[in-house]
Amino acid sequence: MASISPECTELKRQYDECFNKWYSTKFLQGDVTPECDDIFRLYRGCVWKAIKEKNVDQLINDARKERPFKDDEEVDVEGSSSS
Amino acid sequence: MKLYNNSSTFPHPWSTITTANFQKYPNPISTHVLSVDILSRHIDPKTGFLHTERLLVCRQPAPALLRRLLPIPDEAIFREISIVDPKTQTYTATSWNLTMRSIIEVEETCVFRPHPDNRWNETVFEQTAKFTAGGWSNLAKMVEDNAVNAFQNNAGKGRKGLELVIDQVIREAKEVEERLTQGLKEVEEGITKSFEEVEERFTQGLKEVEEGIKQGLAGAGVAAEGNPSSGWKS
Repeated sequence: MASISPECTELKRQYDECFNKWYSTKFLQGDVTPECDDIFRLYRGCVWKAIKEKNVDQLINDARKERPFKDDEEVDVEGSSSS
Repeated sequence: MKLYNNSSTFPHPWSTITTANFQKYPNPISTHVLSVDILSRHIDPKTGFLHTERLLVCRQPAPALLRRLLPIPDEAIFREISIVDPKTQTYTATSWNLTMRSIIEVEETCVFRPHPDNRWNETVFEQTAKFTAGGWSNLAKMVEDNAVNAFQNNAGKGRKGLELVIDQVIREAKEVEERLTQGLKEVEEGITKSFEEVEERFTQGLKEVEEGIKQGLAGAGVAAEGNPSSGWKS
């Protein structure tokens, strides 16, 4: 599936492939050891850069304030990781 | 405010359904979904639940009349938070629109859980959506009606799209299983073969040792016979 920015689509494809395999063969079998962190960091950096360029970051931050995903500290780190 | 409820059953195990659901887009039916991104993802250390935050961009369905009356963009952006509890096997995803919130707010919740009567083979899908348009005017009612209609239309598409992906996931799982079985067979054959080789080498080794002992004994016999006599004789 395409990413919001075409330049992130290949990283997303690699990450999705890793995650989907991990989800069915590890997570659902009770193994929660992360396996796709490295590729996820690269992909997420790319996505957040695109999100900021498209000015969607403010929409996401407003939504997160209303319904937080995780603790705020983590969200801030993610939000600023690509800047 | 308008509500939409829908419930149905999939003839597949929960693990297959949730695996497919993470890979649902793209599919040939849900062409209105333009992009899907994972904003964040973690496993809650206390509960062991998988939390995922995604951003979906969709083509916006709106009739020309509404478009003339309201500033409706071509694309709608949604944020989705999903939680997977692998122990009780519950998948819950809630999504909200990030765009057009001054006109309408949409909250959709989807739940997948094993069918209570057929836990290992069937999955129940429950979908609820809440539409809240600003004000009480006829325009707000029109906006809500249009959103519900568009949602109903896409909900049917959503199920069909997911079914296509489920088939694909099952096909891939079968291929992996076949490869695994083939691999196991090769390993088994390999083990049998190497056992045979080891056995053969062992038998061969035994034979050599036996022969060596025999020869040694024979040699020792000669020495035992020869040495004392030669010693004594010299």
